[in-house]
Amino acid sequence: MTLRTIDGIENKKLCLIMVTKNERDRRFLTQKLIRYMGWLAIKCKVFKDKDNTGCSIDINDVITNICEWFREEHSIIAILNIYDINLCNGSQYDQTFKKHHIDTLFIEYIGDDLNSINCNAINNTYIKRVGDTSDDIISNSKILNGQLSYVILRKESKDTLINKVDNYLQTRVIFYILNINMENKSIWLSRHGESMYNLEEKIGGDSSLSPRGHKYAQLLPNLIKCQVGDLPLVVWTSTLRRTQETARFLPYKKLAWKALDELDAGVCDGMTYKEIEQVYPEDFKARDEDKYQYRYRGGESYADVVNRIEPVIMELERQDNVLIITHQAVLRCIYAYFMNVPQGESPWMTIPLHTLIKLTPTIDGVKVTRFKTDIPAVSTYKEKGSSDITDMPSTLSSKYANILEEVSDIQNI
Amino acid sequence: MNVNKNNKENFLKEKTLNDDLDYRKDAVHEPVDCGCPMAPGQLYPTETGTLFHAGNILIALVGLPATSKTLLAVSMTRYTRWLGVRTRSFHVSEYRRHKSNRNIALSLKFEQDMVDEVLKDIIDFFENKKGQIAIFDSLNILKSDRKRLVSLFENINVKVLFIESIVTDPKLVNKNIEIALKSNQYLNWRKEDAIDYYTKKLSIKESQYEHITPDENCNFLKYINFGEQLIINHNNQLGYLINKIVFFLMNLRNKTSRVYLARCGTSDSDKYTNDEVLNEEGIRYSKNLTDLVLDRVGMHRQGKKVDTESLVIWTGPRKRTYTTGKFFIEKGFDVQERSQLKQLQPGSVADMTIEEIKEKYPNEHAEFLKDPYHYRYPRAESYHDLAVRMESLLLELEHMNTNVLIIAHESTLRVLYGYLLAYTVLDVPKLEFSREFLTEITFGPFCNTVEKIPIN
Repeated sequence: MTLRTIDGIENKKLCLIMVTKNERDRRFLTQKLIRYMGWLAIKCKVFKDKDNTGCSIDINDVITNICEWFREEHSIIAILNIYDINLCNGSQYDQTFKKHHIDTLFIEYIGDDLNSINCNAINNTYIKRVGDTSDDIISNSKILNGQLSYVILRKESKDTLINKVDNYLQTRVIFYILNINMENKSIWLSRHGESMYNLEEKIGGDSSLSPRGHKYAQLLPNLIKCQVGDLPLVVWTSTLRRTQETARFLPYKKLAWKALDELDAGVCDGMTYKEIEQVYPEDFKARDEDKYQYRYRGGESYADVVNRIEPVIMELERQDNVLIITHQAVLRCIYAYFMNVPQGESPWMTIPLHTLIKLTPTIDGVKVTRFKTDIPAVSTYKEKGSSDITDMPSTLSSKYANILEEVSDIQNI
Repeated sequence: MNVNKNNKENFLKEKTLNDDLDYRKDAVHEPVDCGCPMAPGQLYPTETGTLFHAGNILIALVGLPATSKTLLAVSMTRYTRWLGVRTRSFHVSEYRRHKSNRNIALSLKFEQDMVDEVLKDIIDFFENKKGQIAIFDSLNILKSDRKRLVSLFENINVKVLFIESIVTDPKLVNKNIEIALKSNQYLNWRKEDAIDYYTKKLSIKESQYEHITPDENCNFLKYINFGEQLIINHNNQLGYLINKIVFFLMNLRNKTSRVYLARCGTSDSDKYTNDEVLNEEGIRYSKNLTDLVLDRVGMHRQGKKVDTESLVIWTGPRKRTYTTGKFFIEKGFDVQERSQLKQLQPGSVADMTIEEIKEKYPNEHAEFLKDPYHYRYPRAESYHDLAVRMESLLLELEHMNTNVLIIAHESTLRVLYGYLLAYTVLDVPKLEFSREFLTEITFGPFCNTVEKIPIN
């Protein structure tokens, strides 16, 4: 299967050096970056200067390991986690990597612990006098200097300093980091309530909710209220009728995103899987073979959907609590982003109707909780190689197949 | 391609009726309301015409003269328009030029009235022209200027972002002064007078200049030495769109270089499906192209030798495209095969004539004619797909400070040219690139310019 990745980075090698002091922040950022790279199918690996038992590893050995890893095919991004920042010598690392044609980018996130307040004070003076060279602010941390590529994010003063970025991949990483909101928050996902088309086993279209779908819409405000309490929440829907009807009783601010509309099935829009199998047998087969890349005639593929929802993902990273009411294929793509689901498997996940999913990002991964309501609904899951709609996939070939299995994504970073 | 030709003629007729836009003119200053359904790089359509739920934004530039503010304003306009945002740049210097023939020290009253007129037009753009981003290209070096802008625009629910361009590198300052003196404003000046006037103006402004400080409590971005360093006071309320602009600014460089576009040489059957090598004619073409490009680049370098530092060559990944660069390789130039330059995947209509397509795919062909930019034949890519996958290459192009020759398929050249000259989705599929001409695009601060040079 071909993977979607960013074009033009095939021959790039980049080492992200995490010089963030606070361990929690560093781990959080690291796992976020892994997730994003995974979603874009960029090969990425984490290295650190401590082993799992907490013993220090000589940094020179770690750097040698990284350079070795870059000799493997398709290795693009290494993340180096530095625990003992005071011993860190930015220029030396940079020079070593440059010898192996590996670019570096130092990343420093300054949260609101005591150390960072000192840094902020220094930096505000710096901003006042800007026009001078930046060496004095940087020399404070003894790690970075004006010749290195780095990004410093300061939470307290809400500012970001970007220095000497020189290639596209670096700017792409920084763009992502700029969008991350490090606050505690949760994301709720739901499909729209059961629609008339769901009852008729048709795909696509812009039909209204079925009576049972309307019931789900009525139940949703209470379900959400129990979860969210008085916290602020924003509801995002697609521009299609069935998601807006599902959201209509929710007493929160609502935004309709065109980008959240269901995967466009092109000429197959409004058909049942059985009809598609009859009318377009070759397409039906081709889609089962590579569901991620298959593009409906005149319509979209999963890869196309991932492309168009990237702005939504970025906005989601920036927001606090959000409830997204959208469609099966779009939810699979969003879910795949948060749970590191491989591209080959994400189009085959089951996401049942009338079920609310809560994603809570933690330092090490995302915790999933589900709330299945007692309002019955038809299944819309089509198994590979058949046009039958089934309640449950008969073979759970992987841990991602059924997202109702609680998969929590804990990584050892 | 008869149908396309007819279309083009009709289209050109319409265009000439409306204005005298031709396909060699940069369209970045054309009004945004062109009736186009979507912009070339726009990911999805919206009914309101505003993207990313970002609201309306005024980007006000801050900085002394000769800090590339015009270039920043125009480049951001080009890029955000390409993303589908209704953006327009408003340049005080252009208003001044239209109003006064004298060009020199105008009265304070005159200057104030003129700024008021620009602001009135900006407000009109937001309120009556569905504008989403206006870029205000003026000095704004006083705290009081900025305070006034914030209160004026927050009143009509427009968020304000200041982008302060600071140049501390003396080499950059001199380069910028040189560029500024080439602008229309100094068209008929003696060079010494212009430099003298300009430096004087600069030192007066410098003495008044108040840098943006955090205590002004506004959203700002400091852009230092044209991208060497960026300081962002990132305020969450400005959202995705602003981060996208930061992303663009990280990649933008102040270029004096040129982009050359050329087709690849011919092969025997010139088919999509077989990846053929060049035929004799193709080799001859490659040789002539090589000589012509080296000649042009050399001319612009005023006789200085064209070396590997001053020219790189990007080619598409097909054999005949890559080998069109073979004479450059022989001369030691860096010829890079770029996957993003792969031509539009024609899918099931590959190597078919228009007549064959009409016969085999009549419905598809009718759909294609309705929207040639977005329509995909079965298994094919649309121009839009091509543009989206080329975004990283466009940003890299913004980053380059050397001349670049791009040898690629016509479909790819259309997208590149469409971005560099801000054409709409209606124009892009109709652009023509024959093997008879080399297209030379020169980056300019106010607009990019094109020259078509015949290839022997």
